[in-house]
Amino acid sequence: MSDDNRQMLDELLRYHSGVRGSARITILGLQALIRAFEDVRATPREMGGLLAEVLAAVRSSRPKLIALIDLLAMFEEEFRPHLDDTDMVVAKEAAIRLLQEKIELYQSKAAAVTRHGLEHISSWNTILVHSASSVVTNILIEATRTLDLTFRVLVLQLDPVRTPQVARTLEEERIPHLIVPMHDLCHYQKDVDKLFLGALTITPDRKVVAPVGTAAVVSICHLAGIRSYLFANSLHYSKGVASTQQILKQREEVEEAASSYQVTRHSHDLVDLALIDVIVNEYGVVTLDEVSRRDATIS
Amino acid sequence: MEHSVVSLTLSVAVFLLVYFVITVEWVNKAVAALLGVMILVVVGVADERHAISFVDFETILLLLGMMIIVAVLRRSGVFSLLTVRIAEMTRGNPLKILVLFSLVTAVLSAFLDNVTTVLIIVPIVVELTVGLGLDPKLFVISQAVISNIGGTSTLIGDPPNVIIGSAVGLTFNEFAIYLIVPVVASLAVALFMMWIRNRSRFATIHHDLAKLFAVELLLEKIRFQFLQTPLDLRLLGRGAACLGLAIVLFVTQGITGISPGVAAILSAMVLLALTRVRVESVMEDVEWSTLLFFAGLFVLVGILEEEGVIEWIAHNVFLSLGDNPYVMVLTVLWVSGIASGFLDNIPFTITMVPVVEMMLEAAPVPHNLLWWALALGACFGGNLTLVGASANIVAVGSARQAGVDISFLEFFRVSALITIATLAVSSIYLSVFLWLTL
Repeated sequence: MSDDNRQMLDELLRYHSGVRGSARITILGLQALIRAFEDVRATPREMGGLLAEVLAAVRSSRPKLIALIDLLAMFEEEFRPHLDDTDMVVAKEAAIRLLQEKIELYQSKAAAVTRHGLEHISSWNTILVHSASSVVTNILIEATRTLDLTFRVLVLQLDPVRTPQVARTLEEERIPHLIVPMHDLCHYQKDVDKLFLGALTITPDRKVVAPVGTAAVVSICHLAGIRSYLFANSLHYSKGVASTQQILKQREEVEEAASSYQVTRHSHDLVDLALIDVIVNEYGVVTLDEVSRRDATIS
Repeated sequence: MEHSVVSLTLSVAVFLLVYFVITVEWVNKAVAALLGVMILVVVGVADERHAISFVDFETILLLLGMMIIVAVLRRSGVFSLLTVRIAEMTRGNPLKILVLFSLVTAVLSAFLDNVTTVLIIVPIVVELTVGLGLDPKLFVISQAVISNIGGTSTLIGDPPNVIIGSAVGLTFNEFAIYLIVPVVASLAVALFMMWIRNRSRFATIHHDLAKLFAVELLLEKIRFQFLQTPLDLRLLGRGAACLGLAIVLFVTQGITGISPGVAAILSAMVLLALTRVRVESVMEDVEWSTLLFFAGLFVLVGILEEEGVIEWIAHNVFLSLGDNPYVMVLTVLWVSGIASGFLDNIPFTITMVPVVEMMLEAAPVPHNLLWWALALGACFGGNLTLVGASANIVAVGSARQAGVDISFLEFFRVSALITIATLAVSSIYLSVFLWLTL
């Protein structure tokens, strides 16, 4: 795989991770590979090499998409015996079946997080939401649809793509909400009961890789005594520490007020897990120690 | 007004100056044309009431009506949906991207104006090709070229046809019947030439799992970006019905006697009444500068005609060729083709209409073949260079917005041979037609 193609794939993965969220990119990545296997014309033996190229490209994604990487690693392991198949169709069918199983595995874990998440929302709560994490959105939707709870959501304006997504979902579900700029949060601290968050990755050195702005919001909530809830299934737990997560650091030229300057920015925030009050995964509420221990059992 | 050497000289000088300014794009085309008209009015070559009488309101109404219908249809989200579905059908195969998008561009440009067509198609083609690591330039240029070819097939597809149709009274059906064969043949030739000259760029990706994987992620990105606004079925249904009404009225012009301009405005007004969209916002999408440009040029050419300049050109350039119909038809075709490559084909066609009328008075050519030669030459010739047609400039501008710069020479390298080939196809078609009918 050429460097250009690798960079192109990296940009696509980062785009989806940024605008669609960590859960969606995991499912999208697996679905994309299913369709790629449907179209590929290669012998089972060749497929091994081709798959290794894809995995190498996904592993080099910035930041690392841990859930997708680990699920693809599991798939690679299970698919290996099929590389000896003589029939291309049989090998392709096996690949598609195994990948479908990985999607179901992820979805079942995500659904379990949603179920446990419902235990942390009550009527008349005001929930603060920062990024359009699908796990958080699902909890809010289920709380309205199945539990018929009445609560209010305060959405912090994030970017021109993700904020409208959240707004549209809340509008469709008729969940009362208010969208405010991030710097306006200070005016609502007394109204907010809980902060709900998702995560791209949780590292063993107790850091959370999360969308830009999350660290500031968590810090403000911590100081204001607002309880922070982190919802992420254990497939998002990494074995690698925060410094190995390949968070992208970019410089860009900005022209403002008749002058230009360079801005250096990171693609994601690192949040200290100690600032999070409640961590929920597919098994329910877990402690910081359990997060580290579970990490050892994943991938 | 009494014709004098001064008014003759002034009208020719102003006309040439406007032509020059339009070609080098010093100022907006409409501004150049109307400024030229105003100069002639102020110096007394024509008074404003007389000048206004030269405007062909049939052409203006037809363009205005179609622009309104397209503006409403765009709001329905149907064009975004169409282009995304085409992108999905390509599955990242470069040859499919070229062929499928070209076919859609050809069909769309036959019924919408070419500028609108490239504005719909080019952004998604750039997104798709850049995302696949392909060179987007060939694909962008191909869409501009194909829009000019596809637009040639109908009365409403390309401005030169609108001008010829309303000046001569040729119907929608006549355009479709007489021009469909050379247009389809030229489309096939153009696509073949693009493929044969760039075969290495059209390699399939079926053996490359990583690329297939990237294609799926790219298609998802395109779906997400281009389908943000859900399809408005109510607007789509009414828009399609009114576009259908306009086309039915064009096709049945011989029975109803309703001119294309009236048919277009009638359909557009029915659509606005049915949909109740905010008229002010629709009007913002109408290309008023193009309509004013047309109006200004009609006046400038009308004054030239009145001053006897057009008659002089006809007698000394075209009528000196004799009365051999083959020579007449092929000369009009190739002169129009080459001239339209360097000059804007709209003013060129407006200038040529009275010339061709005089040629026909001197030596009739059957089946309006001289008009078809002018239409094919002016439309296909627009492909010769970047400045030959508005669609070329808009396609390149749209690509530039997405970070893809296409130079005049890069465009010329792809388009020149295709233009010559399509003019050759047209020459064969017109010659065979003439041979069969004489």
